[in-house]
Amino acid sequence: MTTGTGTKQVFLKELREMARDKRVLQASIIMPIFMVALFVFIFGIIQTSIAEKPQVEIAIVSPPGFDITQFIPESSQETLTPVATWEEGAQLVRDKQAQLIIEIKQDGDTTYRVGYLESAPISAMAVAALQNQLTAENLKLVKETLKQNSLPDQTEHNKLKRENLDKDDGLAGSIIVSLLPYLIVLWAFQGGMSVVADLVAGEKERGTMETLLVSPVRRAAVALGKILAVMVVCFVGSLTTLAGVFLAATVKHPLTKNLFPTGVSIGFLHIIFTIITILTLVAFFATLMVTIAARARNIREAQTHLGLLTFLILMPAVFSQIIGFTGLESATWVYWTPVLNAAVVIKNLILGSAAMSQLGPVWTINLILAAIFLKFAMQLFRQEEILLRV
Amino acid sequence: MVITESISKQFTDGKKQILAVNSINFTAIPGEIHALLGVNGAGKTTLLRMLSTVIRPTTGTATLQGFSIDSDAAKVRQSIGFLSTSTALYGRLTGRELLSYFGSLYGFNGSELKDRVQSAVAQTKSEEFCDQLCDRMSTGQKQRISIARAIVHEPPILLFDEPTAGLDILASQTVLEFLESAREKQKTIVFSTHNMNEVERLADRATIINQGEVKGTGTLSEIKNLTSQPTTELAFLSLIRPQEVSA
Repeated sequence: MTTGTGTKQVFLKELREMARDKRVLQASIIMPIFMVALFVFIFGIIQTSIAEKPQVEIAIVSPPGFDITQFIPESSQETLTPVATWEEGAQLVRDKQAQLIIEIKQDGDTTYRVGYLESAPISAMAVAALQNQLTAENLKLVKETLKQNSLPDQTEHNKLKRENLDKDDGLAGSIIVSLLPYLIVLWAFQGGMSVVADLVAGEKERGTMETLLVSPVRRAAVALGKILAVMVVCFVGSLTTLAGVFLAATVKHPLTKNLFPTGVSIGFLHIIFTIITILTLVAFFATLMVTIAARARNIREAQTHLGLLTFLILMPAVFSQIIGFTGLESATWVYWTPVLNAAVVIKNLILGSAAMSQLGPVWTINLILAAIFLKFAMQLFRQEEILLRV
Repeated sequence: MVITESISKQFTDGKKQILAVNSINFTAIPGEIHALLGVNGAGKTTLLRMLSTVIRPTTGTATLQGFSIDSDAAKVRQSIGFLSTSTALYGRLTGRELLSYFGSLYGFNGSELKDRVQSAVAQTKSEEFCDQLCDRMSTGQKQRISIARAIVHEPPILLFDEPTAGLDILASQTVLEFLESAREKQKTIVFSTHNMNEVERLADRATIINQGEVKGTGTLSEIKNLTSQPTTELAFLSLIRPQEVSA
């Protein structure tokens, strides 16, 4: 009997069993869809709130007769609450009943003393908005003074023109872009984790491994069949996540409208490259997980080791969400770091901006790791310990 | 036929060396049931695992149906039907699916596979429940499917490791009846047990093992004569604890 024949039989049997296992359905389809729906809902609300500009309460201490609406546009979302002293207003800010306290003093110039909470995003945003407003007001005064003195207006000598160079395809403009690669990596791993302990260590524990190894099928074929089955579950978990996000982007709803402002349009080649990247990643994950499960004495030990491994796997994936703030996104080492490289490349692919120079290292490193762990897994299956270490 | 030649197995547990099986010789021939009799931990399971090629002997060897367990392991596995101590099956497969799976692992497919499965189901009288999920079967039903799995490829040699352990009297009866019918079909049968009643009912020959060593081998009459004991049980006890049994 050839290795290929045995592999096919083991693979098909594992698929059949997994298709009847509710845990697989939950881990590779239901939970990813639920998580995507949850994230779309939460981020949709956040994005909508940002777009609508939040209501800002401002406590204000001003000299008698000062027109406190002078620098606050009538159309703005700010609500002004006069207070008697700075301390009274500061307490309102600390109690989150106001976002800013402004104390105005006039002695020729006007001084604005502003109190805010750096830890509260709306408070910090409000103080920045006030700063911009006062700068604009000062510029207006300069212009008037120059005009009154018949002097040339050089205040707009240097001009800034902003252009967004994001491509129109992919999920450009969506804040979920930084989260999606993390979710794909998460479900690639979690999907496999739900079955691998049962698939390998479980066979030892139940005693079915012995009857399987007595059959003429080669042990390498048994290992390969199980790895391929785990790969399928990992792949389905990832693909469900990806498909869930793209499906959400096509739904016409106020929440998704703000979350996916440019809709979704990803090129065919980028879809293919994303799938290839996910396949290489799940090959690495499946071989690694089967190796660990084959080494474990029982399901419990396998689950413990895989649980600890989750942290190691997910840390780079978490880092991929914030790498854009570090300037390291184009560093060479990023594309040679397992998991991180896949997450960054998937993000670039869904933004429509991945290059072959990035894809090559990711696919190479994933396939090398998959080959190494495949060898380990096959060696473990050939050893007597696969049966005796229980 | 099964012939072992000074077969031994030593395990390493940390710095400790454990000799689980020590230079065992016995021969089992077609049309006979050969019992491996010994207490728990005597080395019976290790011996059967070596014969089934899932573990390798440290020294010595064995031939099954003329094939060496060292150089012809694949052919040995084609020639044996192995039943382990547990009746573990795949719970989310039906009995028939499980038999088809193992049949396919032995290289059968299409109508030949169907015929083999049907034959194994019929031989173990499993028709009524073989389309149920294994998880929903009773212990006795599971044991019948386990036996069907072991014979789906119609092997000439059956190696059964404590096949009645943990079974109730009805389920045990099924196993014993099956072994008797297999003997009539000229199969070579080696089964391990520590149940004297089973040995007396089934065994044509027995090999008594204690602490990995053969203490006696032959027909039951030969063993009783060897120890000058009136019953198989006393013969067994006198071989493994000679100081406690008077002649």
